[in-house]
Amino acid sequence: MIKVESVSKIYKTGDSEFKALDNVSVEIKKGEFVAILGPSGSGKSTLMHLIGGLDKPTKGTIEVDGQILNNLNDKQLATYRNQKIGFVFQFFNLLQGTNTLTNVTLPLVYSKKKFNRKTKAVEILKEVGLEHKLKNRPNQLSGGEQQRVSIARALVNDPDIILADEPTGNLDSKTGLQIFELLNQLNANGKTIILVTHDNSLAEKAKRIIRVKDGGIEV
Amino acid sequence: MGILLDSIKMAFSSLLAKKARSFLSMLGIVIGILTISSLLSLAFGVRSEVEKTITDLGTNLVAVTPGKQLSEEGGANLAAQFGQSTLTEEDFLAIKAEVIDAKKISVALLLTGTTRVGGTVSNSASILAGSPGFEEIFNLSLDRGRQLNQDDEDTNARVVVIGPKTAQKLFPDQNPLGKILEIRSTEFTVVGLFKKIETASNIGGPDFNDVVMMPIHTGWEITNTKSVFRIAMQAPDAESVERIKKEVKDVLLRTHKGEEDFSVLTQKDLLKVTGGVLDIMTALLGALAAISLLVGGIGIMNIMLVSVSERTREIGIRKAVGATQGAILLQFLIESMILTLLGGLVAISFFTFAISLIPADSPIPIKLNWGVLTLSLIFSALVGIIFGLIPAIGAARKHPIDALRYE
Ligand SMILES: Nc1ncnc2c1ncn2[C@@H]1O[C@H](COP(=O)(O)OP(=O)(O)OP(=O)(O)O)[C@@H](O)[C@H]1O
Ligand SMILES: [Mg+2]
Repeated sequence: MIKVESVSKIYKTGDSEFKALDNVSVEIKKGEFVAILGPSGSGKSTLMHLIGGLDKPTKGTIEVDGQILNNLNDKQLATYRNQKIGFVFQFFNLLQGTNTLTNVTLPLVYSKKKFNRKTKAVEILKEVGLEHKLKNRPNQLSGGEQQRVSIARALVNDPDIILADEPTGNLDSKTGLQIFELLNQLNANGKTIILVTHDNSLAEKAKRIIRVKDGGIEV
Repeated sequence: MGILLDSIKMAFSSLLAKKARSFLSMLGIVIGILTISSLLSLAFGVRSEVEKTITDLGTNLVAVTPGKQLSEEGGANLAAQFGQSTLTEEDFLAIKAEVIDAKKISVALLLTGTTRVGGTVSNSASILAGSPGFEEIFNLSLDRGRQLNQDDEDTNARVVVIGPKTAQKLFPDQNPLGKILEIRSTEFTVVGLFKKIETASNIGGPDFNDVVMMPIHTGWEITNTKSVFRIAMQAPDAESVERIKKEVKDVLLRTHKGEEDFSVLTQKDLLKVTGGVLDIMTALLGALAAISLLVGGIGIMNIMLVSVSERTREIGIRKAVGATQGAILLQFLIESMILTLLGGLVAISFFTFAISLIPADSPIPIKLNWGVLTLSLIFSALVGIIFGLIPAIGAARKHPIDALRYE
């Protein structure tokens, strides 16, 4: 259960201030598949970062499964990101010069769970259909493949929530659809999915749509 | 523990990814550690050489020299080595009469002048006049011929015993015994030849390998003085060295009417004096080496700052998947430490190899010293930590969002 309560986020650049989120409240239940739609600059990524514990709100509270993120220190937030959240980014954000296997196992470096890392990574790479590209580096993979590697990385630590910020934004519509189906599959297996997209047809396939405009939520 | 191992692995892979750059910044450390280990080894080498020289002088030695050699703080007064001697025959006789259980009390005078044989002149040979016993105290044994004796002294004999270096110079490849040499227009007959002494030099005194020694009375006669350059004696055993020293001092204070213009030195005092000088030398060499290491360290800091800035996005990614500030700090610190430790290892291997090339009879007093090698490694690791700290803190403090957005 994710509870966003009266959250505002103000960015300061020099003397000027910019209100990226203005008194936003929203609830997302466990196991939901939510699509976030909205024009560029409306604050979608900002909201994702706050839910993902990468940044803190200027006002309001964010509560995830009973934990109030505002109160967590750096170490606790890092653990939260490591254990609870899997991020998928538009530009993949894989470590360049590092192969698929190492990229996927990266969250396990910072985890206290005692997996056999390679076994776990290979198991997940099978789910995304990339078990034959273990030794490839990001620049030796197609965009769709890179995005599947980053989904595998998001999944490796078994998080409850997947935050995907325009994961199909850099892919053609066919590949984008494959990525969407993959997320849908994960949702069927019980993960909470929050998907930011500009693609209406994809958003309509989600169970619920949240529309964001000018830092607020349209009902 | 797990994160430490991962950090080491990650450090190696990112250092290997930029081989040329890692190598060049490592080179600065290699040079710095090489300087440290060689200068420190040299300092320790000189120290042990000097200490050996002093212990080789003889056992339970007590020596009187003109001037005040030790300042009140225990430092060395080098100026006391020069100038007119304040010691006389009177002092020698008084000690002989009153310090009863001192053995082999002997006296020596240092003459200025050159030694000549026909057209060959030696400027380097120290010209000494000594009483019997002097040669025993300073362990001057004979290669051939005889030592000076009481007879020579009583008759003001014009005879000398010479050192092997002097003999080689004045009488190359000849038997010097019975040969004539000339000092201050006086002819002397060579009656003895000293054995070669291995210890390189004699602190504060003449080089006994290059020496011409005549009876003390002869020396006084041709210089027309009764002055004395050194009075030396041997205490009966190690325990009585300090007591003899005190007795000699009391006698001399009386003959000098309370003025302490002389020094009574034991080997312990000599070690103290030279130790002070050596401490200064070690500190200077250490400072020199530290500067070179500082330059290497700045190179490391520079390269780490560049690396952190280039890898901002990587830092953002790591934070997004759960790296704490501590984990990022550790990663970069270990990276710079591995860089400097490798540099240190390369430096000491190279140094060890270079030392092994120095021939055993080389005059350079440099030896392999495990303490120095260990110290060098510790220094190299410390440089990595100290100069890697600021870049690593910078990396750890990066805001995850800003880092992820970094182009
Ligand atoms: N670090 C920052 N400093 C200042 N302003 C910022 C910062 N980050 C975001 N903003 C501003 O906040 C607003 C919302 O940004 P955000 O990235 O959330 O938009 P978005 O809805 O994700 O847009 P897009 O669809 O283009 O990704 C933008 O106008 C942006 O300029
Ligand atoms: Mg965005």
